[in-house]
Amino acid sequence: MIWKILNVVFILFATLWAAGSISLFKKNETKISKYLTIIFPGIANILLAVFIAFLWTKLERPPLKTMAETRLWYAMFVSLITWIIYLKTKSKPLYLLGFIMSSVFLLIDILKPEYQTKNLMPALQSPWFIPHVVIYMISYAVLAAACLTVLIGVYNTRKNKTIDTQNIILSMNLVYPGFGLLSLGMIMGAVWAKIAWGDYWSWDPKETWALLTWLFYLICIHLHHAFPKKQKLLMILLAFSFIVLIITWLGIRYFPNGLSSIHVYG
Amino acid sequence: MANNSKSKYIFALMNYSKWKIGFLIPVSLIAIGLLLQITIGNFPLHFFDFPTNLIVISEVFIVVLLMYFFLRKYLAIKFLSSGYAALSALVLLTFCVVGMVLIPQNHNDNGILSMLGLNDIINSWFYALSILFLLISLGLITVKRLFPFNIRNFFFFLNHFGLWIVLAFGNLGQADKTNIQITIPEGELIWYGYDKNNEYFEPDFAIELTEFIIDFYPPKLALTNNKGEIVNPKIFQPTDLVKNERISVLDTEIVVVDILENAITTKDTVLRVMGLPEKTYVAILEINGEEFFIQNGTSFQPPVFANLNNQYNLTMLNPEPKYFGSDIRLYTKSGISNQKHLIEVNKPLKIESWTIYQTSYFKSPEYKSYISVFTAVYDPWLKIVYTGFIMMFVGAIYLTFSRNIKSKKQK
Repeated sequence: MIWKILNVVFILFATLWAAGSISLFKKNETKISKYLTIIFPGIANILLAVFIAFLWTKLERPPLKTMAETRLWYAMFVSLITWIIYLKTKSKPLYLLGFIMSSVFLLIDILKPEYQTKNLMPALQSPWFIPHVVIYMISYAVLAAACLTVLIGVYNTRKNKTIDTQNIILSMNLVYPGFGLLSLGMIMGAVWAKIAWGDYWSWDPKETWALLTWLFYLICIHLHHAFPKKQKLLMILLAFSFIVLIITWLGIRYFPNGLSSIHVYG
Repeated sequence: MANNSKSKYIFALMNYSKWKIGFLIPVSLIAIGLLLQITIGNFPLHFFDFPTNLIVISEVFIVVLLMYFFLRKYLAIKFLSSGYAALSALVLLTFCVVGMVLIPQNHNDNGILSMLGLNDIINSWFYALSILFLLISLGLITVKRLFPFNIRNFFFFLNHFGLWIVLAFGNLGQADKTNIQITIPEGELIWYGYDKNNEYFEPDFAIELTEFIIDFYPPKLALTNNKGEIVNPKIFQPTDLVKNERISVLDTEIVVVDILENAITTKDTVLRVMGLPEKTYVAILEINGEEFFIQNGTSFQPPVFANLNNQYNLTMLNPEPKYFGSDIRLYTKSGISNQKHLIEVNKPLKIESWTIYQTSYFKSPEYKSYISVFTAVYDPWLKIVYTGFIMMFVGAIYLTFSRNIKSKKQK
């Protein structure tokens, strides 16, 4: 029942973003088309937020437990963050990529629905649950925007044969807050783990992968700081760091130690 | 003039060798680490219990300060306090962590991986050396950036020194940490537990489990195929079984006539059984005017399902725990006797220098009641590590909400 509503939400969401994209690439830019470019995805964001709120009341628990539920939040934050960045930078490619990325994650939820339950195991019944997961999802979305920006940078660099410094700076400006949020999420997770299990860090595969993601972004920040001229290396590393992030979030089960993790999504 | 060219020469040499040194230090640390690993075995963390860990950490701290205040003119120290060293220390640690995720960390393995310490990287010499390298480089950079003291550098200090504290005390503090598991059947008093190496340990307290309290979510009805797999939620979403409710499954209307707790069924009859080792339910379902019994499966009783058609079966999923906790009485060597407490998940009990957590529970056929599993932790360095966490937390908030230099320069 809930997933049937998601179908409708997705169609509306994608249509709104698509309409925004059409007015974005309209040849004769008018004042109205400028407004529509901004307003359409804005409504799409509200729509998704309302759907999550609906899911929350329907499930009688925060919808942050399963992989499908985290993908929903992620889609919302990617959509919201790329929209906000567009308002500030007017970057057209990022607008499109943000639209595509959030739609893809919603589409995965529609094609691969998961078993929905109101049940929440006792360890998850904690005031740390919501801030820990939500902050991680915002961080992942900000870092996704950083990755998309750097991909645009790579494309421009190849096309123009000069390094696209502007997009690297924009990307790094996203990496800083993304990394800050990653740290906040990780420390909250550590404090919560201590309260629930008695250890703030237990080298569980999920924790180790999370540390790896954190270290990769830390290296990006320090590379940018110590070797500002190594821009090509930085671009590669930024893209690669996001791959590590995606593995941490969605793919650890495919690695040797992954399946023994206690942090697998319910 | 001559002096000037000399300094130019040194500067050029330094620039030339930065990459090389940055590469050589981690490589030689790995080599030393592997050598020590082969000859001595794992890093002997147990030697570093109090006060040795505090002495070692203080020594590193003092050496870092001495290096900065008296030797910072030297090339090696200049290098160690540069971003180059920071980067190479980070890359070295990252290598260790990559090893942890890619190589199975199976401590019982006795092959070449074990000889090189690669199956237990967290206890290996190269991990220990990578942390030491990071502590020195991070320490020097932290001190360097204290001057001039301004807002940016203050948050830089919080981030970097916070991490320094967490790395130093989080790692070497493990030597003093005791983590034991205590399992107590209802009604019994236990004064011992087993640590992570499964060794017997007696803490300063004893626990008597007066009552184990557990509450379950309602059992769920699921649709399974002939292989026993739960079908795609698009076909049917598992639904709570609630008395007198109607559930529609593939256009068939099912009435939940009754739900019986602590019962088992043989398809024809239902038996009420007290003191079963695991939670069982029987649901009486009415399908097209006919009554069926279904029951969840346990380790001693196979599940009972009802055929919906020749393709699908109606199955009851095992009930999931909603809450569990233990009513206990506490006794300590310091004289506390018969003190009542409730320990719940996410609500540990602090008692003197120990913290007791409700971590799990199980039922075994030998006991008719539940067996509660507690973890008791003694971690004297926790407050110091948390100080590091708080510093990093505040620093991270600054990182999140401040604009970095580049964007300011750009403007």
